[in-house]
Amino acid sequence: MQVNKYENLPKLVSFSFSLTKDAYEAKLAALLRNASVIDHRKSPCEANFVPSIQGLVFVVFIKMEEPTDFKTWLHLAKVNFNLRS
Amino acid sequence: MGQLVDLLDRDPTIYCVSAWNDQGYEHTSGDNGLVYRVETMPGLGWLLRKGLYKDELEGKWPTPDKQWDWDMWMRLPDVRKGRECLIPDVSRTYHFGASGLNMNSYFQDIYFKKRAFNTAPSVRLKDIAR
Repeated sequence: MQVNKYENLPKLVSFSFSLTKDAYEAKLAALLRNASVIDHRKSPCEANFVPSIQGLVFVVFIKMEEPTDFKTWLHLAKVNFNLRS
Repeated sequence: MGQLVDLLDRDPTIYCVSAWNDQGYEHTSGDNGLVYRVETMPGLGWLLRKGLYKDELEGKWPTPDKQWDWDMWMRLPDVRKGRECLIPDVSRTYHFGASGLNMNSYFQDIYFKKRAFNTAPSVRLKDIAR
């Protein structure tokens, strides 16, 4: 039997987007404006980096020195934030 | 992807519709009705308007002697021109195969093995009519 190893983890907030260009941009801006900023003093490797609170949108900011600077993102992408919808 | 053809036809800011989410892993993707706009051309199963190809891309398409691949060329700012692609949260294609020009079993395991893949039939995509 296949067991879903993510079933007990916090669920992602369910979004819906209007897909036309301007409406989509407005929706993204609204989501960012209303999001809770994660405590950047914590290491992304800490288990509670993303709070296990359902129904809230969280946002993390990373710095890119230039458009092709993926260094920080590649490190962050390896962290399993235990998110699953 | 068929549900997004109408949007592709009427929105000139859409570059392509792709079945693939570059960020779609088992632990990050799970809403099979959700569609995003992204500022790249993911490829790996995709649609584009015939007019875009015939009128704009075909004449400049990279010839076999070029050192770069056509998908990388399509992502160049001077080619994509700020247009965006529609992609699903949960990919509709799956990358398998451990051998090929750019592939081996190591890359398959590292980059593609844990990708989310939709297996539900007849999913209605959200927000495509607005």
